[in-house]
Amino acid sequence: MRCDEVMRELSAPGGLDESSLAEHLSACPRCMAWSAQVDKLNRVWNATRPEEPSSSAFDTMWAKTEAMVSEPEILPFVSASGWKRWGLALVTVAQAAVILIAGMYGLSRPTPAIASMHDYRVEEGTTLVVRLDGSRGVISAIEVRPQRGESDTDMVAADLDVLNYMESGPFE
Amino acid sequence: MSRPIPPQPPFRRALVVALGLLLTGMTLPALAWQAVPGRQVTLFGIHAVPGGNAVDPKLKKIEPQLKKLFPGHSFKLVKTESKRLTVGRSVTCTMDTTGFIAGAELINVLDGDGNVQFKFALELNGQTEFATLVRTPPNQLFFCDKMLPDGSRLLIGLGGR
Repeated sequence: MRCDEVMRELSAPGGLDESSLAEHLSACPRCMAWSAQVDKLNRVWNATRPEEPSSSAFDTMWAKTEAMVSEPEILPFVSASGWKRWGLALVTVAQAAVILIAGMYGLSRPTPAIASMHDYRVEEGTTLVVRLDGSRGVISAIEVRPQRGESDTDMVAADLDVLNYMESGPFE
Repeated sequence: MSRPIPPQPPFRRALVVALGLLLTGMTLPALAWQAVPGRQVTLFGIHAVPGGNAVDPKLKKIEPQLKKLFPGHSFKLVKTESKRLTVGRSVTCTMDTTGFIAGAELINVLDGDGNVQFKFALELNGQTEFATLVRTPPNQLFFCDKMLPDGSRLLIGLGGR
């Protein structure tokens, strides 16, 4: 069982066998810490959650909402005075000018060569693997973290070994 | 036995000046080059086949690291390129067998978070298949794992130091 599966199970229980979950937790301090956090959050939520409204209160509220939505909205007509009319016309012309300038600027800019650009950040002590599939593009981004008994430094050292070796190529 | 004739004083002075100029001309560009911030950037491609166990002799030295990152695969080195880059310069790596070209441009030698920034792109037949900004601590790797039509994978590694 993997740590991400365990964490998902702890956050939204129901998918995994309890005995194997307990077995994993007893052997994985990271998931155990996560489990403690989840328990703490549940306790806080249970202590502070608001009371559920009664079904009659819900029905009354729903009926009021429906009535409000079905009523036509009638706005009072107020005639604008002369200077207000000119002001509105001026604002309209200014808005049109701004839209026109923005449009021209947008058209004159060079089209980017790449339609969509991602942004990935590699955390200290992890190796990031972005998986691509031919038709769907990015299908997952996986952070390879230190395994049990390893530290972040071990991961960095492993990466550095690969980097150093590849740098020493080509290997003809 | 004949002794070499010592050069005349004006000629000797000119020789010293010429030598001085020559040495200055040789060392200054080297010093200037070292002062420009840059990174040694490495791009490499590995063909990985799921279910296999064979490892290319060229990758034997880093087999444990590769098996840790991609367990249950066989590995074959496709290509490796390494270049010292300054900001705005790039390195490309043509993955001969697959037709893919991977490229990395150095964007920032060290950003505010202590990361090196690259623009990474993967192309096939002149079309950009994938492009991303990669921010990684120095000496740490970013991998792009491209699934190929036959189910095997092209692993492209990128790192800078």
